[in-house]
Amino acid sequence: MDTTQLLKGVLDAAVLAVLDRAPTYGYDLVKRLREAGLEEVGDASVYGTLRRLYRAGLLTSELVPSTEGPTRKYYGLNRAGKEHLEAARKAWSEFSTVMTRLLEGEESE
Amino acid sequence: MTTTRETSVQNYLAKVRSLLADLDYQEREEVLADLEAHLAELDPADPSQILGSPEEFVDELRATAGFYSGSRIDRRLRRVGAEIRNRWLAARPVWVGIRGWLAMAGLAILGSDPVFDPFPIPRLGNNPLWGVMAVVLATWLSYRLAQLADDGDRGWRAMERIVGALVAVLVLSAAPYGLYTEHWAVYTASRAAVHEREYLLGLLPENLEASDPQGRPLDGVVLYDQDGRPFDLVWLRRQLGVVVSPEEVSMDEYEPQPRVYPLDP
Repeated sequence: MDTTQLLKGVLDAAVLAVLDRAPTYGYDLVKRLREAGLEEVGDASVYGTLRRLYRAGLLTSELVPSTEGPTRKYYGLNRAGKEHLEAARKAWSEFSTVMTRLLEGEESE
Repeated sequence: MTTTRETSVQNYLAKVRSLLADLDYQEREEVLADLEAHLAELDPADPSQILGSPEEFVDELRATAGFYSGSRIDRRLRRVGAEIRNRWLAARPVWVGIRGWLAMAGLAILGSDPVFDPFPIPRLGNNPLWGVMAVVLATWLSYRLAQLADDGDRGWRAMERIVGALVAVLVLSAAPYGLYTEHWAVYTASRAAVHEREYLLGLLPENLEASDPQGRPLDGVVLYDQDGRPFDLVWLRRQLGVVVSPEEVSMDEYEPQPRVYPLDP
């Protein structure tokens, strides 16, 4: 199944969840998302999502010099970002419960 | 020496930059800085093999970033608008620096008498010192206004636009007087007249005393010029715009009798 369309709806939450563990830069973020199982996530999608979340005031950014290459811009969650992630967790939990029930043919209580 | 790999990356970045030309300058540079750092980590022989073509990359980026992605014509128009905006932003520090001086020069031109020096230091009240102080104050206010507007407050941004429009109107109103011939001719002629007057005043004696051969002062002597007109220093000095003191006038109150030169026997 093509999960690209599914991914579009949850990429914000996925990016926020990775950044909640520790601030990181774009390249590392893409790598972590793919290692977590979202192999189809596009580089441009991750950077586009980062820019949108940053413009929405949910992220912090900080330039950190690197010994291995160019200066890296680390993105992290601010308070609004953490609140947004918490709301996304709750929404996903409810949504996934409903979808699981539907897909497994269970009747709602 | 630039390698093929570096050239390939630079070409990719240049193409992405041109495809994002309709974005706000700062936003575009943020995106490109992210992409450049990303490509430095990937170190690809050809970025297109990993990221897709620049067009594909930008389409995907626009879709997820929420950037405008309308029709090609719309994007081209927005690109032109963004280019104008970006050029304006690049020139803004210069505008902020000179608009205070421009405002004061405009005021000096419109409010001054014809004998003025609007450049480089405007004279306010025909006084260059006031002009210097006014320019310093106006320049400081201009920078302060720019700082407040840059902090993102909508009210101050609106205020800066209003001030900018007023300065532009002032400069446009004053420009014809400051630059065009009529006022400039009056200014130049006034300057010439001032120099001529100063020259004549230098020639003119301030006082004349008549005395007999023994050097004793003679009272009641009246002097005439070659046309038979009374030689009136007070009148002459008044004609040259000199303010004559009451004491000098009282010394000249008598009415000389007109005679014709050479004197009739």
